[in-house]
Amino acid sequence: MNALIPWLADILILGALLMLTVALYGVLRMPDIYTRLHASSKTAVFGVAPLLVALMLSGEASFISRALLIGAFILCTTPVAAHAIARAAFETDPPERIERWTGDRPEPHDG
Amino acid sequence: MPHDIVLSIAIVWMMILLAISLVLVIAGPSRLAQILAFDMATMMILGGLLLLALARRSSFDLDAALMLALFSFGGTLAATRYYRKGTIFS
Repeated sequence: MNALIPWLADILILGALLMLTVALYGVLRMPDIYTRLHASSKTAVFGVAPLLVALMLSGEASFISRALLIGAFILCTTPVAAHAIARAAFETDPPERIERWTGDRPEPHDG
Repeated sequence: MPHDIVLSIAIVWMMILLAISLVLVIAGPSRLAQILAFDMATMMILGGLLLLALARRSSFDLDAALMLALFSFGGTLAATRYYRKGTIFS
């Protein structure tokens, strides 16, 4: 059982990197600030938290305590920062209505 | 050791992600997009510090990561406040 723990840490690290890559691709791809925020806010939970779990799996007390601190802090502050950016975008340039983003696909027609 | 290889690949990959987000900090289409990209770049540096702590087996990098998270949060709040009101402290 103990031999599996480093492999589990490797899987967590690679999954976290995959999620970070997807989030960065979303920021590159999305057209306006609100949809970009939707992509970038995922980095804390799906990108950094698995790395912290991988750190905790090493089992050392100094790693576990600091990883818990960093995780609690990141999970508290990332939504606040995203909300600050969204609020600044909304207050300086309030949109009449937010268009639905369809990407490369054409607008689906009714009926 | 396969775990060391995975860690090396992960660190290189994270540095590539950091480079792309730093390009976005400079070339973002609007100011707020640049602030967002800056927030994301600090997140990538934080992930790199965590990987470095794993690779070197030292917990000192985690203290640096905690401070980086703190200053990144304060910096994002200050930047958005400056963007909104033209001043940080009113």
